[in-house]
Amino acid sequence: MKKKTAFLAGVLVICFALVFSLIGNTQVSAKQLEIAVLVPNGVDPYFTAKRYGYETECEKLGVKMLFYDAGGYANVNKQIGQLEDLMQRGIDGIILGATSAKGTVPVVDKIISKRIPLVIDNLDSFTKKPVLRIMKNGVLVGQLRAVYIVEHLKGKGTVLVLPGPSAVSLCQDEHRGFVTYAKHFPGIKVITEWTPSSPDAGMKTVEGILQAHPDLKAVACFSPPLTVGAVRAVQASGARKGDIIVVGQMLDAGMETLMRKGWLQATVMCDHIEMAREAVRMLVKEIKGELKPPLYHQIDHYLITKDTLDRFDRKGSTYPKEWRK
Amino acid sequence: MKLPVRIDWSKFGLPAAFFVMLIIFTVINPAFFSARNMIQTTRQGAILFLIVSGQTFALLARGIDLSQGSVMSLVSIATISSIYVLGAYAGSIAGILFGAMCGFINGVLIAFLGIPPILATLGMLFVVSGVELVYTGGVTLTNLSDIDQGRLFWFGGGMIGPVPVPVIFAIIIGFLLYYILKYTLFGRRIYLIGTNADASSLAGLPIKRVIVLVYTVSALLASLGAFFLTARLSMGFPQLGEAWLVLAIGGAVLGGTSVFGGKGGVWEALLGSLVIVFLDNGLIVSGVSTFAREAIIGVVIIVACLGSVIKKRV
Repeated sequence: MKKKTAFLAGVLVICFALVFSLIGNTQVSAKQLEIAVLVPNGVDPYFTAKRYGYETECEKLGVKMLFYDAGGYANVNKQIGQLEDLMQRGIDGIILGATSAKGTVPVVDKIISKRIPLVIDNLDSFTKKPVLRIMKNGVLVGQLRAVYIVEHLKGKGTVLVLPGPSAVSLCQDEHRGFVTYAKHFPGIKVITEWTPSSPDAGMKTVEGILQAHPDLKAVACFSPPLTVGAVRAVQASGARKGDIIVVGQMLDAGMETLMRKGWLQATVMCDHIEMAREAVRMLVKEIKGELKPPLYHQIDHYLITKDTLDRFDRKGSTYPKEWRK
Repeated sequence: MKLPVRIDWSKFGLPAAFFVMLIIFTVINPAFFSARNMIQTTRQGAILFLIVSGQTFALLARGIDLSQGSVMSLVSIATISSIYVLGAYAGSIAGILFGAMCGFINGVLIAFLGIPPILATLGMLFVVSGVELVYTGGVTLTNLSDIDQGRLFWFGGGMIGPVPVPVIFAIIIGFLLYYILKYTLFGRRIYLIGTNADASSLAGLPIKRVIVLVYTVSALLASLGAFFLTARLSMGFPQLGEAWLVLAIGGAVLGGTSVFGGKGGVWEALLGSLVIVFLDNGLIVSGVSTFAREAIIGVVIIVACLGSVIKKRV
């Protein structure tokens, strides 16, 4: 009798435990997921647009989003502090655009060790631990710019490359892609100027380089602010539209105006808003255990010019005019 | 052998060094001294001069204005936003006044609440940064109408004869500031307060009123600099002024304005601004890499600060 009672009691305990664990799981999955998105420079039009992607996808999936801006590519310590704060407070998952590929490795390793789901979005952190990544191919972006410029210069001319901040791995990749292609053409002379991604830095640098190299034939720019600054400098030099080819990356409202007016010849697109949406989807899947690291997801890239401006699909790269958050 | 004329190197040292620098850069690359390069660089110099002049006012009164960079960013956004509604001219004035208002608030915090200038202006830096980021969401403001863009661009990129428009404005404003500092009661009071605030207070000077005006002027001049830069770009950029605060302080001290107050002025602001812009431009034209340029400019500013400290001790 005692053995029977004990056995029944044991079965009951196991049943209760199973029931409670099921309830527990249901409650966890019913609880709204909370994720953090960290970007290095929120005012860069690239990240502003991506924010739209993150927000809309989070809204669609019913996920709460916390947005953290490091305030500049140089603010590595600030971003590390943000990540450490998130680890302390607890968060369901993190999407990270790293300020520095090397500088963020220790804190990223800690995050992964603590089994906090993490997706690295475009700006890489050189962690050796398994992680989900969604990335542009910076080398390809650089090469696309190089191919366009070299073709239009017929393999001869002086080209200024403004790759952006030197500490950013993506900028280094894009620069490497450009020079690797251009070096096959002995008639192409490449000048590189690493600058902050700001319009006045672009303007001042192009103005100065035009003095040292009046034969400058093209400028390749990392970002919309640099592109605008470069175009203003080209305009001020007295050059006519098309005398100096300008190729950028992304397409914000300012760049579109410049392209339609003929001052910006081409820009490399990478559907960064769709990339942000995909980053959120990947992270949610990882949180739910449906996706496990490592994974390297590379997005597509393409070049647009004035001729294709009205024909390419903008959904992945443009946010509505009325959205301004 | 003694020179027949005694040269005051503390007065003429920097101008002499400036001209020697111009000669060296011209020898390295004659394109440095081309008309086009001079015009472009003086255009940049005019903008920096306005901002440095503003910082000079704060330094003269033994203070500092750390909010200038943020105020510049705010003015960039405020100007374009105002132009959408009010048109190019009224919108431009509104944008500039937004910036001046930040300086007025700084002055009130410092003068009437007794908050140290470094803390008050640092706080304003963060507040203004936050406000303009919340307002814009980091979005660049563009798409002015062709008419408004043309009118606005003239202020930043236009020419009157061979002279860039910002340079003309800077010259007029420079003379006005020189007159204010040298020949008005307000100007003399700034120097007195900067030299000895306690004695000035005991002498019955209206210190609070002067301080409020000083920081209003500092922000107003930074706003004007931001306006000309925004006009040149014809777009409103959040964080436009990010890199300018360091240049403003560096330019003021490099030119000879003391960080301890009471010494310096418009001439020093002009000198410091010209040295920085022509040094930067000369290094670019000479083909010096970005990294080396940053280091060289940094060293020059540090040496100038050191000179200021040594002069004070001597």
